[in-house]
Amino acid sequence: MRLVIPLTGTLRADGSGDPDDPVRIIPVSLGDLAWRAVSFDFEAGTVEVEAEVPQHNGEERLAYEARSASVLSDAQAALEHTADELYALTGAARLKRKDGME
Amino acid sequence: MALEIGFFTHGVTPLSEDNLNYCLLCWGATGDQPSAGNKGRLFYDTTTKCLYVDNGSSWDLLLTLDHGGLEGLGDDDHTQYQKESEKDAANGYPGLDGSTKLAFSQCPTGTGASEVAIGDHTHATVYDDQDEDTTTTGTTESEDIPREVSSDIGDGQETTILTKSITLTRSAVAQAYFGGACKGVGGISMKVRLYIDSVQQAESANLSTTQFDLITLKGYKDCSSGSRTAEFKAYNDSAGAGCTVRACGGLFVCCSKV
Repeated sequence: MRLVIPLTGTLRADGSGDPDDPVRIIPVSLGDLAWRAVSFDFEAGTVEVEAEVPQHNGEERLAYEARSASVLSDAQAALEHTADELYALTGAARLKRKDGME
Repeated sequence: MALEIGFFTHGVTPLSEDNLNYCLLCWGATGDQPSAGNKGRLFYDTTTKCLYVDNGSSWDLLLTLDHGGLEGLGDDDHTQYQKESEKDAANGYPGLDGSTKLAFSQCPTGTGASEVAIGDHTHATVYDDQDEDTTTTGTTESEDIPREVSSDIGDGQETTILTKSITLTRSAVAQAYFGGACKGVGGISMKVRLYIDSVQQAESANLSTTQFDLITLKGYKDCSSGSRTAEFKAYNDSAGAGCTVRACGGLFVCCSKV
């Protein structure tokens, strides 16, 4: 499932993050899911990720499918806010830019 | 001067329709050949080594010893014929292999319309390295962690477990992978993360606290030249104070040209 998550941290002009304040997702509770970045939108301050719920060892397929659907649904619900609301809810700062970036 | 000899035949069909039961054979040099007009008469030309028969009005060539005298052939044209054993490159004719098929080595190769078409076939397993450019973009680096325990991590905090860097000589796509086994200690919401140049690329689900989970993280990032760094980190996603991550595995970072 694709999710769009706001970023926090400090972005430098060369597209890298500040080692003292790395670019990362805001600490919103996404639950027991894994993700990898698909594309970054530094202008909007977001990252689109591909999220999935790993199957536990020995977990039955039907039980896993039900849990996966629930976790992904909860993650979607956790992100159903405006960016301002999410930053306010998590207490995270908006993505900052450094070295002359606007 | 021509010499004529009469032959009597016995029990054979007469040579001509006028019921002659003999023929005349004469021989001599080319200049001695008499005029035609005696149907069935034979003349052997000792100059040309040809035997003629008189058809009543002219001489027809009946036999010759000269190859070039045969009708339908040029003189001495036997050199254009070739023995079965005379094949291949030395003589300019391809031979057949043991299965009576034309050997591939004797077929034209290439991509033109007149080249041999290749049917179904199997390729050896090889890498297509057209996009590899390690000599100009940098090197591949990796490092293993046999067993690592992170320091205590507070809620919402992260700590670096392993770092690996490569140097790009020009713009390239930096790729980073972590593969290994990880376990959360002290809380159920411990995770691991992968960064490239301090930009988060991936994150695991909650790590098990009872067993090691097999974790794979990967990410890629368009980069300009210079040193590029992949980081493998432990993250406390509200697991509480005093939590750590145990991990063993490898961090791999490489690049491919844009």
